[in-house]
Amino acid sequence: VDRLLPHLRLAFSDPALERDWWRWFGAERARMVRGGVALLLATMALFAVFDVFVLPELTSELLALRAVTLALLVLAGPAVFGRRSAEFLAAHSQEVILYLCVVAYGGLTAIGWLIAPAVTDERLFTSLMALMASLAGLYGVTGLRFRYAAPIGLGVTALFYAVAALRTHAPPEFGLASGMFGVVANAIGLSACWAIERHGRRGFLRGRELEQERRRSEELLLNVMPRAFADRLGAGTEGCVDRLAGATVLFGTVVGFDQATADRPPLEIVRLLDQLVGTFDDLAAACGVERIKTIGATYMAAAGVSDGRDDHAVAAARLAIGMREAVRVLAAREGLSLQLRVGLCAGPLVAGVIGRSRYAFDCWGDTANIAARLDTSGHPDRVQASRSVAEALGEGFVVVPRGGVWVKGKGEIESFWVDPR
Amino acid sequence: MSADLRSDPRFGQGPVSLSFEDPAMERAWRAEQAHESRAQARFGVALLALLFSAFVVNDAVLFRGHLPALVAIRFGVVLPVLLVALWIASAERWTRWLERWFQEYLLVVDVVVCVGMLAMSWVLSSDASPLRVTYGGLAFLVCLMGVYSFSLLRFVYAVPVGLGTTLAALTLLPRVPVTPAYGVALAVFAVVMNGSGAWTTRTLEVLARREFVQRQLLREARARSEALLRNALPAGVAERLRDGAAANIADRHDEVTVVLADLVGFTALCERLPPDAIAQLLDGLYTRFDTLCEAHGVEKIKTLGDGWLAAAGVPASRPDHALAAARLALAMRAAAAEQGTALRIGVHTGPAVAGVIGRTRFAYDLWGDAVAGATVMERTSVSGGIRVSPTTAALLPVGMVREGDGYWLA
Repeated sequence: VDRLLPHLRLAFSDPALERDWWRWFGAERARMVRGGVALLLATMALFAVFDVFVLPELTSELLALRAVTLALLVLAGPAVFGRRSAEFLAAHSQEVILYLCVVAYGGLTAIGWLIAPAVTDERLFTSLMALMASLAGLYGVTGLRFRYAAPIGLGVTALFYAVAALRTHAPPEFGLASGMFGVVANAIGLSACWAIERHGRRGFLRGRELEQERRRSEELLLNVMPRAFADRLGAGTEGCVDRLAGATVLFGTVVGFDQATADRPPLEIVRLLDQLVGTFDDLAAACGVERIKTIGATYMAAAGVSDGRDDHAVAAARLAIGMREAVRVLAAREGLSLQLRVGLCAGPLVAGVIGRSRYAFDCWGDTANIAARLDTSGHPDRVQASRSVAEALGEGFVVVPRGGVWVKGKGEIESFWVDPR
Repeated sequence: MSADLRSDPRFGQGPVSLSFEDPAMERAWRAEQAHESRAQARFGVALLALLFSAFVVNDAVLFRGHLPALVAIRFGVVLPVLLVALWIASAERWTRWLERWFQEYLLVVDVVVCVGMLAMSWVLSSDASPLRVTYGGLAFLVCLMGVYSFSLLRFVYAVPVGLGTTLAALTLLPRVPVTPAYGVALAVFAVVMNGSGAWTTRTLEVLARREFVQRQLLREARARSEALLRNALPAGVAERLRDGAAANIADRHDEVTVVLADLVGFTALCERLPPDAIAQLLDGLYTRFDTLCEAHGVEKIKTLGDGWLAAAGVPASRPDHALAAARLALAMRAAAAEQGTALRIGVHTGPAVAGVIGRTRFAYDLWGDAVAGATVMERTSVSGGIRVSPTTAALLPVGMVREGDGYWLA
């Protein structure tokens, strides 16, 4: 905030931000501007009645002047109340307010000029009170920016004293007494005007900052867990797990990665890994599968864990085929002998976030263990799937039985090779 | 955005009082306002004291006959109060008190000034000329302007002070020789002044309170981002990513000791226990490990199903990385035994590349010989055993390592 709105200043250091601010101000204050204009018109009309009592001898001229002023004010009507006024005010609220203030004060000064020769001391003070009341409005109510309000307020005050000095027989005490009050009234009003604009601008900046920070925090939350999961379990960062009846886990290992990259510098290896994992991430997002994590050159993902989709096996198989293709392409481009080996298993799963630091969305259970085993027991460039996955795959895939695979703690299980049709 | 602020129940505000409905929030706001506006209040009170004294020149020129009474009010009553107020606004010892009573403090200052002004008007009204009356009228309007636009007084305090002063001033009118027209004019201007003043005060308070709410929400959002970022990345790395130095970070570390722990019999456990019981078991264990990690200054890298990976010597290198890792391994073994489970732990020291890769689910990770070696050590370890590689063993104190079919922590 301090960088964008320097201390004690009333302008943003960034011109684009300044434009945004006035648009926001215009949109935010459109209703206020309308209320203010209505109030101004009503006051001007009311004071016309007032003239009749206070200055009966000048009534006709005064009414004429008031009528002219009112007419000029009403000219701004379409811009303030018209059908497309909202857009107009968003862009030009300050200019509209400025116009109204100049017209109103022009009218008042003309009235002052007109009545000056006829005024008694009492009337002179009355008009000074009118000036002060109007200054309070100008500085505190109109919403006019400091840069516009200050010259108008000070200018009108100066004009007032000029008229009083030239056209009236004001007693010398008047200058002293009213002069001091005039200075104080302007100082108070200017301070309020300054504070309102400063508060407004700071609030505007804070609002933007808040928006950005919330977006960032949102992104970071999504880095830890899937959107749907965060929504369902409350956006907290405390440990929480969810039991799923059916989901598919994918383990994909880039076979030959360690050997193929053995002679490369470590940073180069990480760059290559980043390319691979980045591609996998994009594919996973496209297939609607959640990346869980990477373990060296092994990529773990799960389908149906966050969105409860029924076709999780198909989504995971699609990702597996896509990843295999991506590895083929990368291997050809980089001249490396890399191949992807994939294990897929569908079944019940527990997914969630546990632990206190470096926590991340993860899943556990038999299904995950078997998927990992189907990966390690598979063949390079092949996708090996459990029966549960094979049965769920429809038209789009060719499924060939492979025979049995021995899984620690489970014994022999059936497995299948999966290929696109 | 403002609708968003209003929808948060903690920031509900009274429609007239503008007070936050939550008392704790209201207290926090008062304290913050006192803190933020104290300098301004100090300046305001000082200026008020100065002006109130300076206007004695007017008294001397215009109202010589009443000078003693006016001086008594100015310098005998109002100025001492203002000086005390100035002291309160300046002295360190009043800070806590002001945090609680800032608005009431302002209220007292405003009331004293207004009463002083009314008292002087009353004195002058005893033999008022039209000039004096009009002079009083001006003083009254300026006073109102100050209460509403300058005093920082909250809306619900400023309006009664303003209206009270107005009523008191109007009751003085019958005492003075004014034309009805002037009386009407004064009343009308008083209404206009009170109306626009109330509007100004309200605008200022609404804006200031909104800014407070925004700051509060911003603090929360920042803390949340910070916690999430620290979860994904070690402190130094998070800063580098934020500074945008690189989209992806990879650092080479020559000496890193990696601890890889595996839960013995996890696969069989998965068969036997319902999945949520497993998650619960892992959560309890990992939370414990995470705490131990922090205590030993070792960086947790990630969990791998039932495996758990940590490294000493990243992101900042440390000379005693092997010792720190060994101590952590021992503490983890003890912690697991307490929970009735056994670990198989492997420890290895070697070079590694640490960094952040991927586009989604980015996290600080480790690759290289240190990890591969630790994996081999873990696979060849036994239940309850902590197997260390020869490289690590050489870095540990002699008494810590037992030799026999590899190196083991005693």
